[in-house]
Amino acid sequence: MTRPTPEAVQTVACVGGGTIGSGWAAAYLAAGKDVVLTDPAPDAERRARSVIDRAWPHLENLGLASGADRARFRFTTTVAEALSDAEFVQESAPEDEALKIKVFAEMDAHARPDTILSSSSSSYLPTHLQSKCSRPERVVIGHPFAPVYLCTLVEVVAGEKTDPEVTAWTAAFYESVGKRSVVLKKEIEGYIANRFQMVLNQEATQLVEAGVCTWEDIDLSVTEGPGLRWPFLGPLTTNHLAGGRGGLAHAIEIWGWGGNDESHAAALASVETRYGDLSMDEMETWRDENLVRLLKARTAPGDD
Amino acid sequence: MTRPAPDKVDRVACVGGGYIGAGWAAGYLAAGKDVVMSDPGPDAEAKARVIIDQAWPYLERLGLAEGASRDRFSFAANVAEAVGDAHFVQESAPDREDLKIDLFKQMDAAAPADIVLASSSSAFLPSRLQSQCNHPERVVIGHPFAPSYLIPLVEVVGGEATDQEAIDWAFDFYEATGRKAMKLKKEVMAYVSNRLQHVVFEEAASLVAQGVCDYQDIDTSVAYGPGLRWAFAGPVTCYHLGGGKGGVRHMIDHFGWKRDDEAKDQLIAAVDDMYGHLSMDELERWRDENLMVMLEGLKAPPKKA
Repeated sequence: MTRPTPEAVQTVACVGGGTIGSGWAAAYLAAGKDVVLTDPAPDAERRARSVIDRAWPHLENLGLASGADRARFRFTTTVAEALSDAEFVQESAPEDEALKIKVFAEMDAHARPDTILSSSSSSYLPTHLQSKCSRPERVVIGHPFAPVYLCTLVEVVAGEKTDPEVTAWTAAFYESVGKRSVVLKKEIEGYIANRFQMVLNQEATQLVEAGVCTWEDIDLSVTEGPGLRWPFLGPLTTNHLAGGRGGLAHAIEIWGWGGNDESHAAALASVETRYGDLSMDEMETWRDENLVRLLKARTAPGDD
Repeated sequence: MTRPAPDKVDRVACVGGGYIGAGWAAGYLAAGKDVVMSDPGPDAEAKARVIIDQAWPYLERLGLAEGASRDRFSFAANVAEAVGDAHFVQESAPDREDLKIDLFKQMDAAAPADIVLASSSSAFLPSRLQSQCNHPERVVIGHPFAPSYLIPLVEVVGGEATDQEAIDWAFDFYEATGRKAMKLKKEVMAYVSNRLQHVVFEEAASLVAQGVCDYQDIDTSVAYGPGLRWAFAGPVTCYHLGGGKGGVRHMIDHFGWKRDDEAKDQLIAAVDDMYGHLSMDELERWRDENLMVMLEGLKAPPKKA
């Protein structure tokens, strides 16, 4: 067994050095890892280093792990060399399924047998990406959000052949580098958060095409309204607060429930688990405190 | 003509004193207005004052207008008394269409003939709410978001019988009180923002029903992912940023465009209009600075021992 415990990982390989791959490299360096990055594009090393350099002051502000250092970054032109002593691999090649399947077969051939291979894909089924691997059980999705060095969410998705231990290890690994993992219970194209962005964009497009509002107003209708709550509330907690003193149960009484009985019960149980010991007064104080902080601190583009 | 200029309003009537109406009252008091409220509910005045008091410290932190004082709040015995000499009326009764139609009829009868009457309704068509009014031309929707004393957005919507002047006046008035107003070009049920929230919530319920994830994951996947950006960059801006150095044009080339050319040109024109003066580098720096605000400034919900 060569696979270390998630928090003991020293060396991470980043395969693909675009905005996403370099952002991962910056995040892993800040988490105190050795990072080796490979990318076949000419100029890839210089571009990756410029992303890392731009990210670094922010990562310093958020707090570096002990031993974190940009000098622990290394570049190589071959996948084989990048993976030779990697304890975890983050693939961030262009979003092209055929290409990714090929890259996974290549990584699978060169990585140590137990090393987990995780894809930054934003949409493909892991079952497809692992299909040409001789060890498909160590292939997962670890989907980040741009900019990768700041956004915390990582969606972890297993394919049909992924070992559940691999999924759990990967989620724990991301948490150990300061990310917030969400493990999907089954694979679905687009995973979770991008599906939200997609339905929102579709509705926005329809409203603009129907002549209801302009694209500028679409942005305002998010950033000056519900978007201000979403960084700390999420859609379900938003509805819990919308119910006032009666919380989610009252909100559902007023506005009804669009889903089935099971999701209705799950929604109520989720709110109870998370917030059952907080009064609505305490919830509202927390919400208002965060809103005032955001309103005072955020800027408009070009303000500085 | 009793309708003052939008920035000269001294007295606002709030009809309905629940969470939304009392939140509006707090916001208008902080903007330096006299506020008179009516609400038939038992204990309504005391309940409204509790909400105003709860909101006040936050409004102080954001900065009060000159002369702003909670002492400028008063409670009227009925709708007619509240709106009789108001310069503007904000209606926030429970979201029931028949009740609101009747209330608009009462407000219309008692308020000076050219005073703008705005509804906080979150869903109904203004054409319906104005249908029983003698002066329907001054009836608009002015839809806020909870908590209405902190969230800036107000959607302004006119009905079939609403004057464009009344719509423009309401827009200017909300902006003058520190809000971010937007005018819908036509009325549609639930307006814009709640429709966007609605499709997200529908997708969430569908993912839970399909067994993809549970509700905790739904909130995490928004609050720690795209939700972090949505507090300062809307979907159009996120799309533009998603294209990297090539912006919206690269995004369209890369991911394809499923709709017609007109819609495509419209989107590109909107992005150019909003951000044509900024390089992608400048925009990315702005995004990162604001993400830092989110990451450093936000608190997790309080935990009990």
